[in-house]
Amino acid sequence: MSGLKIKDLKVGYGRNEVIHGLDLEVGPGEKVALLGANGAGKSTVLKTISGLLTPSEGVISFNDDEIGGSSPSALVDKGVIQVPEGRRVFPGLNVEDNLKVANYGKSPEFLEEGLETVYKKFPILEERRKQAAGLLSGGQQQMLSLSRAIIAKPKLLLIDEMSLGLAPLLVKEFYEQLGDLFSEDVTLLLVEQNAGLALKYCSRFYVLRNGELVLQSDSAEYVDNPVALQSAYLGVDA
Amino acid sequence: MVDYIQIAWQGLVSGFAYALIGLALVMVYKTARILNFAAGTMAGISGFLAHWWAAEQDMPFGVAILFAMIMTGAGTYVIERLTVRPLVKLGDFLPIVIMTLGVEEFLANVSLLWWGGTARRYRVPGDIDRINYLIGDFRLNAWHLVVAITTFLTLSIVGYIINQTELGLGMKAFAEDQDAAKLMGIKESTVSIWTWVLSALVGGVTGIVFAPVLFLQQDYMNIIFIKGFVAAILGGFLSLSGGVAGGLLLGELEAFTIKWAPREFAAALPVVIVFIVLLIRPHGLFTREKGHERV
Repeated sequence: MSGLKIKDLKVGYGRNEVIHGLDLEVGPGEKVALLGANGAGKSTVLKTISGLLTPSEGVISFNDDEIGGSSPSALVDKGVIQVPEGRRVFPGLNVEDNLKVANYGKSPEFLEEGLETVYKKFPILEERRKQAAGLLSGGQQQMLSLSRAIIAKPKLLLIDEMSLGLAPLLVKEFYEQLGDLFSEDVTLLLVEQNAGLALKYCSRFYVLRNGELVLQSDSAEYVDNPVALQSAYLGVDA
Repeated sequence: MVDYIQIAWQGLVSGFAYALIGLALVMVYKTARILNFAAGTMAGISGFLAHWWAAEQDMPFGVAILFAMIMTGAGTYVIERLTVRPLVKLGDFLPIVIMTLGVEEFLANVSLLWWGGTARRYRVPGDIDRINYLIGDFRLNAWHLVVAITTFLTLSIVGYIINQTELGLGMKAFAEDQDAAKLMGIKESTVSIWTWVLSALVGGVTGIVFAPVLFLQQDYMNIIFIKGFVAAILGGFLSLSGGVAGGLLLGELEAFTIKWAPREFAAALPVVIVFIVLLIRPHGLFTREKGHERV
């Protein structure tokens, strides 16, 4: 058995518990979406998996390796890579330095290889490689943020709200590109507001409400009618 | 005319001290968001160690400096691990700053016990601090030349580390966005400790090279620390080059104030400058106000 397994996870900020016992699984190479309204705790789950937050209870394992409570850098070494919400490029560093950071602590050979891949997929980044990342457009910043993840060679990829603040058409393009950007066997858990898009890309999904799991299902059942998810989001019968 | 050149040079030499300490302060603040109030005292101890070893323990000057720098680096490593690191995990700004004040008190008293409170004047090799060259009417002290060269070298080395090494890249990434830097696999504690050590080494160089200029006294770096602090504020506290420029500017302002205003006013000058700067440009003279993020 492998892939990502979360059992009875509890986590919060200080004394405020946000996630009250979550069970979640993503099989190896599987693409799964974590949905829910604002404040449901989706980002908290991702931040806990990537090590920014420490679980107060529960087990997180990836490929049978217990990873709950590890430091972010230890997790990066194990191939757990997060594309953070709001892209979080380093605005004052130029594009190339942003990409270099993604190769931190690894051999420069990997970087050259990574840069080549990334620049082939996003030529605009090569064109602007000496420019401060803060001067890029939102879409270009998202390219950069995804490129950092490509260079980091993920085994488990966590993507937090790629659609945040981007034009819907652009977001659609990014989703269509995802399969091309990362290898098939990358295990993916993504958080998304735009349920319609996420369901098209992911085979399964979970819905989180107020820190608790309220629905899990195959995407196929909802992909043509994401509106039916409303009741799960809101906790009322639609 | 020569008069003005003389004053400007004098201001520049003092400015070097403020610039280096300003740089040391900004470095730690920018990367780790910690104000290190012990920076001046730490620098003073480095200076004391070097000159005391050389003059009273008969160590060759170069060896004494090397030992002092090693002690500075090692001591800072221990201080960071022992006092700062446990508090960083709590994630609060104020306790750490108060901790650095505690460290400052502790170190100040240790050095007072060790060296006593009287001012000393140690000789430097060849008495070069007493050699003066006359270029026309312009008087150039040989030690001031050493100060200038040392400052230039120190700034170059720091610039190289920040811009060309992986540690520097990590420092910059951390300064920009701590969480994002962690998600890239940069170890916070590694970047933090080497930033502290680098900052203390810059302070140590300052302490050593300015000791012959200032008389060695247990608290001789305190006044430089305060002015380094002002330099950092002038530079907006988030810009390394801003801190350096702020230091040089403060040195010049001070030198020319002494020329034209009563000496007492020169002592108040840094405070007046901070007041005005915080009122008019709280983000510093050289950094732009943080704009809105592009979406």
